[in-house]
Amino acid sequence: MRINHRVIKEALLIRRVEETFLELFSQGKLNGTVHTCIGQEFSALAFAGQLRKSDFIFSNHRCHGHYLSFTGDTYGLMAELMGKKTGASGGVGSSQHLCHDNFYTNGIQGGIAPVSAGFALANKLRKDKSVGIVFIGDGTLGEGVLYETMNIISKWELPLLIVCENNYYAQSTPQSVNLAGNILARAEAFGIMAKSSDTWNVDELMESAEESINYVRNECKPLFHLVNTYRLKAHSKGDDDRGKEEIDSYLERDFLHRFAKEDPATYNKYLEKTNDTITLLLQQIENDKELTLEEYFHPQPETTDTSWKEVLPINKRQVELINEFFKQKMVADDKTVFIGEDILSPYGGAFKVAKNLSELFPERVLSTPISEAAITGISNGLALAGFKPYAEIMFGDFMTLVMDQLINHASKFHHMYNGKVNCPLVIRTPMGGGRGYGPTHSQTLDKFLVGIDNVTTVALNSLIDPSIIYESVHAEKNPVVIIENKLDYGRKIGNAMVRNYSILRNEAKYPIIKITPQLSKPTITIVTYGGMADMVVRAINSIFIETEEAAEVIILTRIHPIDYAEIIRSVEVTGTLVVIEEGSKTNGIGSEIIASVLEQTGRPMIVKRIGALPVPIPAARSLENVVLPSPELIIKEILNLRAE
Amino acid sequence: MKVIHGILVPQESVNDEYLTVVGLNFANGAAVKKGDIVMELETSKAIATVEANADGFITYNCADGDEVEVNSMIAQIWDEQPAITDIKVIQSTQRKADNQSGNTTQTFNTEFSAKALKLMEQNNLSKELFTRYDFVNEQVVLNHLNPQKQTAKAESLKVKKEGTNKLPDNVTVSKLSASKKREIEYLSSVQSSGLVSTIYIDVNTGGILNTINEQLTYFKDSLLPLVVYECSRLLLKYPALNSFYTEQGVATYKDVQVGVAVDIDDGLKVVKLPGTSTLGIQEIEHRIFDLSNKYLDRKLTSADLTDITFTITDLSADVFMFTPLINKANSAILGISKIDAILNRTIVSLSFDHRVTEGKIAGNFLSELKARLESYSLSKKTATQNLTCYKCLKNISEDMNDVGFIKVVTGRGEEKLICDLCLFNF
Ligand SMILES: Cc1ncc(C[n+]2csc(CCOP(=O)(O)OP(=O)(O)O)c2C)c(N)n1
Repeated sequence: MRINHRVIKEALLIRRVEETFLELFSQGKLNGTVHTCIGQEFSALAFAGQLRKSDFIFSNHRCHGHYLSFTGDTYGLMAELMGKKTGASGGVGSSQHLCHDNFYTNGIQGGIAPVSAGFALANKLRKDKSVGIVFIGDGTLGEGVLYETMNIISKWELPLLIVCENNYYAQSTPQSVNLAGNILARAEAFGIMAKSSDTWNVDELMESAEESINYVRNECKPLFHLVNTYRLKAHSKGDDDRGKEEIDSYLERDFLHRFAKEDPATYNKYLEKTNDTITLLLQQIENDKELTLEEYFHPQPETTDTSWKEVLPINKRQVELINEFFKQKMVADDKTVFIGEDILSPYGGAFKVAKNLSELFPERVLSTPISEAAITGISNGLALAGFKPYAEIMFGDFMTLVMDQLINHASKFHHMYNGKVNCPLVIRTPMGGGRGYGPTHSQTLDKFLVGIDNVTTVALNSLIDPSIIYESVHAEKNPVVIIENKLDYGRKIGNAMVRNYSILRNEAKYPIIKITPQLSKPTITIVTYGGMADMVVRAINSIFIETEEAAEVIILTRIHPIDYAEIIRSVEVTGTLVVIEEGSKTNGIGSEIIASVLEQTGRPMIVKRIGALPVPIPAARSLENVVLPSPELIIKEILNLRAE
Repeated sequence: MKVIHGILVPQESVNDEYLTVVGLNFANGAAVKKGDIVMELETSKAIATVEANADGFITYNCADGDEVEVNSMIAQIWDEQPAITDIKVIQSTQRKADNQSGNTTQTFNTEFSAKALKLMEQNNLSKELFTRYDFVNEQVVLNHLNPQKQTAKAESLKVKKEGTNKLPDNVTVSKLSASKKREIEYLSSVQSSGLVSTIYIDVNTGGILNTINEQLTYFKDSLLPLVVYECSRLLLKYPALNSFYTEQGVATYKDVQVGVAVDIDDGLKVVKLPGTSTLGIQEIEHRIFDLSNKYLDRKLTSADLTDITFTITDLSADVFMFTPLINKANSAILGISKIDAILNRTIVSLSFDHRVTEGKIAGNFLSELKARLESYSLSKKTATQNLTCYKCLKNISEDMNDVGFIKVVTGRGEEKLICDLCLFNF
């Protein structure tokens, strides 16, 4: 007999805590929402309750039972839902965003699957015998990223147990409407061992869960465990359209319900004790405070570096320098991981950044299937577990598939868990046209990658030694996106020739490069970055010859957040600001730069955005040339500017 | 004969890009000794002196009263005494000398713009003439061809040009002082929002409205008619705020014609109240009302909208505090913000043009306006109007026997007023 009175008392505590939340909600004492696991408690106890403290859990919106079973932290859970700073996530996260020791939850269905795989991978890389569980609902079987993850955890033999809590509904929708085929067969198709249990035969459930955990730990392989169950209350608060008869029939099978009937005296004794505990906690929590804004959000002011030194040419191609950085870093820091598609030797990645890396570091160079969301999610898990993952997204165009992991996971973790964790992943990707790759392999999508809170976005260019940028990125504690440029990979650094201009850079963490007339006062400020930098530098003398304007060019290496000091200093001299980006200009980075400069200077000035035309980038050469910004376009726009 | 030292215009403060020559202490070609004060320059803050840093003979490239750019070469010291003819040549070629150091002369493999080259070709100018420039555009060539006009070169971005059109008849113009000019330049390059400052003052509205509402028909609970009335009087005392800036100097209006900004639903218009300083409060109210109706009926004529000498904008329906923008051919604008009903106050703001007036004058104007407005709340009637007996709730104005109310402390420790009847009956 596995079910003992300790387990029953814990199940009752979970249920009473959930019921308390519903009561508090109806009293208006609880902000937001809750998803209770009433009826499903034994799934939590069987899996989360039987893990070791060094193991880990990723869970979803219906996570309170998992949390209590694993952490025993009733105070932290209740305080969190009541929005107090003593809560598990300081009251920031509430019900769906909990973090405590090795327990994490997030409210995006399926998104936690690759993150948990990354966490499991971290354990495996450390040769640690810990295992992890990821809880999903049956409705989440509709999410694609789950299958990317199943494929990878099976292929890589990661110690991860997927527990699918099948309560036959996804929010309001019954499974019959949503689900095709057979659930277990899905896991089996990936070569993952699949089992099922239910919460009505609790003894068997406890035993089977322990077996599954042991299997994952001992075999170092994933397992998919389906738990048939039923939630006895609404999806969240009052949203329940299921028939009373159906609910009652499951209530009759519910273990706690039966126990109350069979042994009312003991049940009532436990109930009373549980209620006393909860009442006491509530009294304490009510006196706790909520986080202040200063405690929650305290941006660090950065100082600008104003010492300028000359940029000297390096007789090496950009791609070689990036490759060298990785070769050195992977030796110097054994937490460095390189992950992406087609990166194994001899191929070494579509643009050869990973050349020879997999031979040197076979364990930490991970070639993945075509699964951008999972690559990013796994990197998130690695980063949370203390590694420094560099995820290569083969073409910048595929960043669209990365967005959920970047915005709803990587970017959020630090603040939504009230600063308990950092997620220092790095996503690197090449963007830019000029190679005739056509609409889905030539885009510059950087405008979608700036302004994401807590995410730093940098863009390499052909003037700066990429290892300077990479060293700064390596030291970051927050997520970073590095935008590289396909044409720049093959260019030698700092090789562009300019006449009568000085090329300088400062010593900032992400240096700013400034190209300025040696003697004359500049008459126009051009701000650019990334692949456009090379074009502008090469065109700068023609720009003068054709337009009469001696430009001061400011090349940014960090495009979010931007350090405006130098731009503003320059514009105060020239009164004219031209921003050049390779993406289409509407709602772009140029718009943001101009708006910020105007806002900060409050001074009238002449401004111009130059970017690609708002159409897919054509493959045909002559057409591609006119869709993307060119020296001719820049000259034309500057002449127009003065004509107006 | 060679230059042993070049004298550059010193950078006396970060704010000054140009200094004014206020004294040349030697004649061209005169002998100077190291340490002699050779010239004086006026900065925005003070007079700066320039010393000779070698013994020799001096030539100046500037004249008294010139505006000279910081770091440009203004004089040289020679080893031998130059002849008068040499001095002429020296002076005409000394332009935009190198700004690195007075001793060396950097040369460039100069880059010429296409237009510059064309112009040079037309005028038979050789590239050698420009080796001390890094970039030569059309303007540089034009300057070379026409050196007198150099000083007016492309500094046009500095201060946005006001219309140089003919001035209206109803103004008198006074020239700007040199130090005022410099202040303008200083402000225009440093102060982000240009040349305008805004100052604010709190006006205690408790009581003002009670007094004034009695006189008003259409604009009850509005300070606007009163503010227009008081401003129009005060402007006579503060003509600088009833003026505007032009390139010729400050133009001051001879009379006061306050404009009131109205923005009901047909866009912002400023309507004129002719001869404002001769109108009474009720007249002002009626004029505003009539003009608002004309605005709504779209019957405003250009005479209703022109020759406004000072503007008042009343945003009291919407906002608690704002910064009004000065209208064309005005030097100031007054804004009335929403009345804070709890604190019984409103914020009145005055934006003014630094080129015409200064903070102290604007501040005095506002303080005086505040005092004038608040004086309305002091009328006896208003002060007592809200006083009631706490027992019978009778208002003091109904106090027939004119004894007045008595202040008492109630059993709860509160200070209250009580009428004599209630006091003696209890
Ligand atoms: C990506 C995403 N899509 C939709 C939702 C909204 N949502 C929250 S819970 C839920 C139902 C999930 O069903 P299931 O996975 O079966 O879990 P259950 O609620 O039954 O425990 C939905 C659609 C979400 N949170 N995330």
